Amino acid sequence: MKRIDFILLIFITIIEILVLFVAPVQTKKISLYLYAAYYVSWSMIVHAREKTLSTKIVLEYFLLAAIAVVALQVLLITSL
Amino acid sequence: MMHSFTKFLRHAFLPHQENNYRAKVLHHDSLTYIMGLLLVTALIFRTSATTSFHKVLGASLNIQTQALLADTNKERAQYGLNALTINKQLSEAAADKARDMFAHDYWNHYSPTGTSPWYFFTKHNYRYVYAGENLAKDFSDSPKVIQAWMQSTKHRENILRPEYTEIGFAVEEGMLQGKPTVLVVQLLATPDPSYVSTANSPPQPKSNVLNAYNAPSVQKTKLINTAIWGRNAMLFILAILISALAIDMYIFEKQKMYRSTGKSMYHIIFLFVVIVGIVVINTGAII
Repeated sequence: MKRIDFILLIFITIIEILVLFVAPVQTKKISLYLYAAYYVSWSMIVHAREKTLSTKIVLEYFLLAAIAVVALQVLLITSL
Repeated sequence: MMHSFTKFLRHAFLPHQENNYRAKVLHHDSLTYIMGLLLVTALIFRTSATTSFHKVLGASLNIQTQALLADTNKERAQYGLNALTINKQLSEAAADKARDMFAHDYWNHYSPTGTSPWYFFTKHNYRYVYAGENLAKDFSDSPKVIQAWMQSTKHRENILRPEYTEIGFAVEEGMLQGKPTVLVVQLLATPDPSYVSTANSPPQPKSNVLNAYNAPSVQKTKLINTAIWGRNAMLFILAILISALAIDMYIFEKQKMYRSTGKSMYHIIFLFVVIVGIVVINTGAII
């Protein structure tokens, strides 16, 4: 992982956490889904650049992102 | 028995030769099982919510008027303000307001027919000098309701108004705008002393409308609190994944080995943000 990739990841993560604490509920939900999309797509770019991209790796990122999205959905459904 | 359990934990969380140097819980099949389990859970909750919402609401509801009163007075005490006392008429008016919102299907301080919040005060024979109303819906527990009101300037000003001396609460459930909803109505007021002195002389009509101290149906029987259990289960699963990833990353950094997998650090940061999201997201609304 290049230094700039890590700095960008930390920068976007800090912004996301700030949004989660201060934004309205709807914005929080949307920002989390956008963050999940960023996590998958940016990771793909980093792996592609490092020439380590494979189906196995893509699947790993998608599965973890899907688990997070479904966990959030369960939370939203149960919090009636 | 103990040996096989230790072996299972080692296989699940520690990368070694038998699990192809990757904790079993992070294998694709394990991740797929976890996702499947979550999907089934989501499906069960969704079905319950649409087919028998009263059961789900009753089980999910953890909003108690005594807790609302305590939290409100706690906030006021922090600003050196007097504690509010529950007024039965205000609680009746609040319950009436909530029922009116369900009956006329609106989420507003004013009904579609133009009925103002103050109508419910006078309807229940309560004369005031100052009065205010806070509304909330779809919260799963009492502290979150007060927290949401305190984060909103207008609602906070309402709660912290020094003139108020009395308060009334109602927590009602029903269908609002086609959705199962839990409404919380908070009415704050300063009684008109001249009216109270005359109104106190005749005995008050006995009412079976609920107030904060004799409201058995307001505090629901908690068979299982689905909101809290659901959230804790999600946090537990994500915490397990983060732990497995952290152990995995530590061992591989130590051994300086190469293997074709995703970046554990990315995964950990991502899952950490999701945990923060689950903890801070508040699904209720206030007006």
